[in-house]
Parts: sequence; C-alpha cells; structure tokens
Amino acid sequence: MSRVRILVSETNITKAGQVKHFQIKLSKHAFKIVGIETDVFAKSHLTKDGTIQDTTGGIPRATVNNNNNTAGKLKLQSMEKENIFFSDWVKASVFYEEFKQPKAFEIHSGLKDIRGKTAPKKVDVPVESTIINAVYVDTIGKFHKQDISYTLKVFVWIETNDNQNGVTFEFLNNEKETTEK
Amino acid sequence: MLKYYSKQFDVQITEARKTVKKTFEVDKSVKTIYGVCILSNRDDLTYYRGSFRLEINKDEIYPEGYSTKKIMSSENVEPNKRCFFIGKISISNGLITFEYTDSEDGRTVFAPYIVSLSVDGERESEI
Repeated sequence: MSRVRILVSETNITKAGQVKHFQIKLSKHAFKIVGIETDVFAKSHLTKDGTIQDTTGGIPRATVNNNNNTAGKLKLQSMEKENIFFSDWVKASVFYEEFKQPKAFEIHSGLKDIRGKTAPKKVDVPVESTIINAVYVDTIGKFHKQDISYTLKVFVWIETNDNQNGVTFEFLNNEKETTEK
Repeated sequence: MLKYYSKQFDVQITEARKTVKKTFEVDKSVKTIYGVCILSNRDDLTYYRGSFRLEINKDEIYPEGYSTKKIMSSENVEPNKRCFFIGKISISNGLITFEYTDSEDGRTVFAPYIVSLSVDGERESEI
C-alpha cells in the first residue's frame, strides 16, 4: 500500500548572495515526489524595517516588510525529470501579524495559503534514484547588503511503498482548495 | 454509534532551545483520528520558533523538524476546517507521541508558553 511521508532537509545560509548546492536523500521506499514546501528559521535578528541586529534580546516581534520578505530562490532537479522540476521563491515566512489578518495570502513560496491555512506545492516526479539536487541562492542578504544567517528547510512529500495503513494528507485530495486564492 | 471526538494535549515549554517529548494515551473508546492542529497560548512564539514530530501508534505522521506554522490555522479559517486532515487512522487504545522543539528565531524573544496538540476523531458511544 502506498502512503505519503515527509522528509525534512535543512541547510544553513550565512552569507549575502550565497549560492548553495546540496542534495536531498530520499527514502529507498519512495516512488514518487508529490509535494514541496519550504520554510526559513532566522538566526539573525530581523527588525521591522528589515534591518538586522546582531545583539541578542530585546527585539520586538518583527514585521519585516513583505516586499523584502523573499529569502531566496530554490531549484530542485531529479534524474527522472528533464531540467528543473521545482523552482520558486522562498519567503522568509508568513509574518505572524499578517497570518492573523483577514487577507493573509500570497505568502509562503511553494505554498498556497487557503484563508490562513497552508498546503505544499504539488509536483509529480517519479523516483528511481534516491537523490535530488537542490540549488539555493540567497537574495535577502543581497537586498539588505548584509550577511543574514538562517536555516532553510525543505520539506519533500514522497509517496512510499509501506506496509503501514495509508495516511492521506489534506492537500492530496483537495486540488480545488489548494489552488484557490 | 460513532461520535465526534476532540481533545487537546498540552506541552509546557519552559526553556528556550529545548525539545520536549510527551506521550499521551488515547481513551479506548476513541476509534479513529482524522485531524490534527496546533494551538498555543503564545501563537507568535509557536509560529516562529516551533518545530515538531508526531507519531500515532508508532507510525510517524510528521517527521522531526517539521515546522509548527505549517499546521497552524489562522482565525480566517472556518472553525470546522481548522484541523489538518490526515485520513482516518485506527487508534483504539493507542498512543500519540508529540515531540516539540523550540529553536531560536531572530524575530522573537523567548518566554514560557504552552503548546497544545489538538486531535479530532471518532469515539464509540452507546448513547
């Protein structure tokens, strides 16, 4: 029986404009990639106007201007697909204040935000080799002309051959809602 | 007769950059779990700082490091749709293992908070 599992891959970005190549190892039971999600955990202190403070503590909850909220661009490549199968901007995240607002949309890269609820971006990539290549380029550091440290997380949703009972995540059955704006 | 079941399991986060793991036993009358959601008394801290791992009956549903914000719903979501549906999982007399990790995020300052894992399902009832 097939079921969907999630893999988490993390990489650290420390320099402005850094280009990082990394590989994501898939499970040997995987036979299809069905979704991609991304997230950013900031290590530098980001303030309201988008500047960075290196001192610790005393930083109010930040609301970085959404225009400056793009952390970088991620591209993924698999042996089983020609060229790049996923290419999208990675947002530094939906900022909490906006998440709470009525129009908390167009936020996470790779995600369709349904009335404040998120879902992965659907892809359909068969898996034979268990490695996918990823290239990430930082833009937020370049924009601010400062080195900003953060952890980039890539969540890969894969379909696997497992003996466990299947788990069907919401986005897999809900094409209409995930594309709704 | 099966009836709607919903319960919240609380985890207290008292220290920054720590992982808290708790296992909860689900009542034997509960037959299936079909939805999960994360709530908190400090939504902002949970939103920015949290990642978690969730296991139901030793079957990993969300892996370690999965961001909490991905299964939080804002107030704009209709109340009956706030849970994230995971399909029906049989759980009679089962265990839910919830592992929450607080990590530093440059947009927040740590303060103790409570994270609740809310699960929706069906329980058997004679009434």
